[in-house]
Amino acid sequence: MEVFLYGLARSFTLALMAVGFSFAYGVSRLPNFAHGAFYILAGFITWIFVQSLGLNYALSIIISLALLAAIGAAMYRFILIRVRGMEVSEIIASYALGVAILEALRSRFVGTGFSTPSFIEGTIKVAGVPIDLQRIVIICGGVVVVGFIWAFTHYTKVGLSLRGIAQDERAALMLGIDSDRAATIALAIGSALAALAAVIILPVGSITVNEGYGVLINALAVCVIGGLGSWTGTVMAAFILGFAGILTATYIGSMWEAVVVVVAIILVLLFKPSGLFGRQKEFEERV
Amino acid sequence: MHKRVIAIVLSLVMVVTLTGIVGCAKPAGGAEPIVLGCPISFKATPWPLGGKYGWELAVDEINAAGGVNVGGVMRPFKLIVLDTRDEEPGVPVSECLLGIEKLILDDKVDVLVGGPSMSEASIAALDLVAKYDIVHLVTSGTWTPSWGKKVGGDIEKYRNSFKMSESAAHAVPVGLDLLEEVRKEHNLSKAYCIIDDCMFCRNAMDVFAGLGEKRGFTILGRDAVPPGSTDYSPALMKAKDSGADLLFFWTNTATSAILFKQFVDLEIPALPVGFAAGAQEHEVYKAVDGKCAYILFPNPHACQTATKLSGDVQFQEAFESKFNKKPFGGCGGAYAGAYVLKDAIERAGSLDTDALITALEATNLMTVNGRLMFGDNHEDIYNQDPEKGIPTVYSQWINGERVAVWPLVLADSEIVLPPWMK
Repeated sequence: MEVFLYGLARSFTLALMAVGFSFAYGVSRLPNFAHGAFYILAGFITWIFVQSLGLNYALSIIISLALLAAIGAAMYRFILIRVRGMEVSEIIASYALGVAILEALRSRFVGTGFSTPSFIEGTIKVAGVPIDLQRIVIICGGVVVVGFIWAFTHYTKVGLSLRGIAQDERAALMLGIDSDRAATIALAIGSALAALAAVIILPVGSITVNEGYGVLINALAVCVIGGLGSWTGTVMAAFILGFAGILTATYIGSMWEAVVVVVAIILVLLFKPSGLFGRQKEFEERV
Repeated sequence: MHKRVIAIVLSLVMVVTLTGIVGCAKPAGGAEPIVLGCPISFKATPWPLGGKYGWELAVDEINAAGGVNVGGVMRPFKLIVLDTRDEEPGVPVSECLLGIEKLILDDKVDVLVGGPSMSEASIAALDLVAKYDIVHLVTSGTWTPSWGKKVGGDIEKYRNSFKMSESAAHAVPVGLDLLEEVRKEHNLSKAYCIIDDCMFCRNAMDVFAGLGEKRGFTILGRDAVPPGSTDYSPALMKAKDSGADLLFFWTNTATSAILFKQFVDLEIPALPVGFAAGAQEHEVYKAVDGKCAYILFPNPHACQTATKLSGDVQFQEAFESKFNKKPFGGCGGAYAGAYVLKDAIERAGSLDTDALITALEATNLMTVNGRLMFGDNHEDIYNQDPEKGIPTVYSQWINGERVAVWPLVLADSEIVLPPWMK
């Protein structure tokens, strides 16, 4: 039971970390390599509002999400729009912005004393297994976020236009959907999702600058296994990596976790080069 | 007449200007400062930042008290801190060495102090320091015993380098001394090890497990968790299932605060002892809602938490007053280091390298951390009796404070077991 429960928490942690990256890429084909930096930036912004300024926690979270959405949109409008279509330049530009954010944060936030409060304090026992309530929040939050994205992209006009762009940009343009506007919205939502992941996940630990790089790597690993741009694949991959990690840690040894994750990535890419649910390679081969 | 007036005015202007230029070369009333170059990676982790603060506080105090008596002239310290970034991920050691070289060649420092923080950078710096024949006093970071082995192995070559920061060679065995006391008092002897998966932590675990078994402790299991992990529950649950009553941990990452939070949440019935990078700052207690309670960790210098040595409480108050934080990281060694250097310079009577090395080798000074003397390998002599050397102090989080509990001569409290162990 403990493997199932903590495996579930770990899977949704990974899914939350990756879903913003996957969403933005799925719609705009723009790899946001500042994703990890946005995650940590949201954590520190929330920390400043809550711990330094004494603002209401919920309000602080809303402000963080709004700020990160604005930063994501601005990143597209002022930086990425100029290099759109040049894949290497897109990666370099967004990664450079991410490094600049993280290193700027490093000059101010040194130490381990930065943590946001848990949404609900305490521990409960599920079938005899104790688990802290914040991890339950992560599980519930993961379900809600995945459900929200599905509903948003299937039942709202904006969401449907984003899917249209993702499926066939030229056809969508002919139907009057503005590609740049869609990309701006996608990066705003993707960045806000990174912020949402941060405010849900960070209360279980502490906010540290170096974690920004780790989050980006985790998000990339999940997206590569799931298939870049596939939201279903992202969730599936998060579950594969989450449960592979916890099963390895429990039955083999924690030190082998990273090895198993890397082997999983290699195996998936070997047999499904586009990832479990990705179709990029297949398209390229067809062309 | 008119020309004579102009000539006199011009002459006066020249005299005033020349006097000014000469005056600039040696400011009136101010003796030439002793320039200290402090290469330290102070933006990555709290440990070296504490080291930087320790030097800044001590330099301010020494200068306010008149400075350093160098052969009858009172000269102030001037501290030049350079961020070597050696603790930041992906920064090669060569960057740190370039920084040190800049301090020596561009800033023309008289003595190197403080870091580097990472052991590999510190060891790599030994040859550079020897090449430029400058005295180097390492006061925070560099916990590896390899530093002392390298210096002791060729003391003629590395005679310029001295180290008075903590050493893993002391911290782990002292932790076992403490556990022997715990075994006597509470009959706890079965240990489970959880560490961050890096060489520093692995070496500590190997030493602990090896020495622990020799001393009659049972090692029930070992788990090396990838650094940066957000979930220590599998390892903690295995520790719980194993029946361990002692939890040995050695963690090098800030995210290890999660380990302690989960330890409390899961109510693991074991006394946690070890190195806690994520739980040493005073602010951590508030940040983790008190879920670092009961853990025992090397702090390790007496002045940071203990109160029984002369000057400790004054240091803690002065530190908090200046930085609005309680002492943390490598501040204790750094603070004492400034006074050790002052003492050596005053005895040497000059900044001459050979004279200063001889004076440092002869150091016998009671500091806020205990009596400081250097051994044959230029490392400070360790002794749990602060009158005979520098002790390694273990503290425990008790009621929201870091309280010194070991060695007994410096203890301000008895060791407290987590309430769920009773």
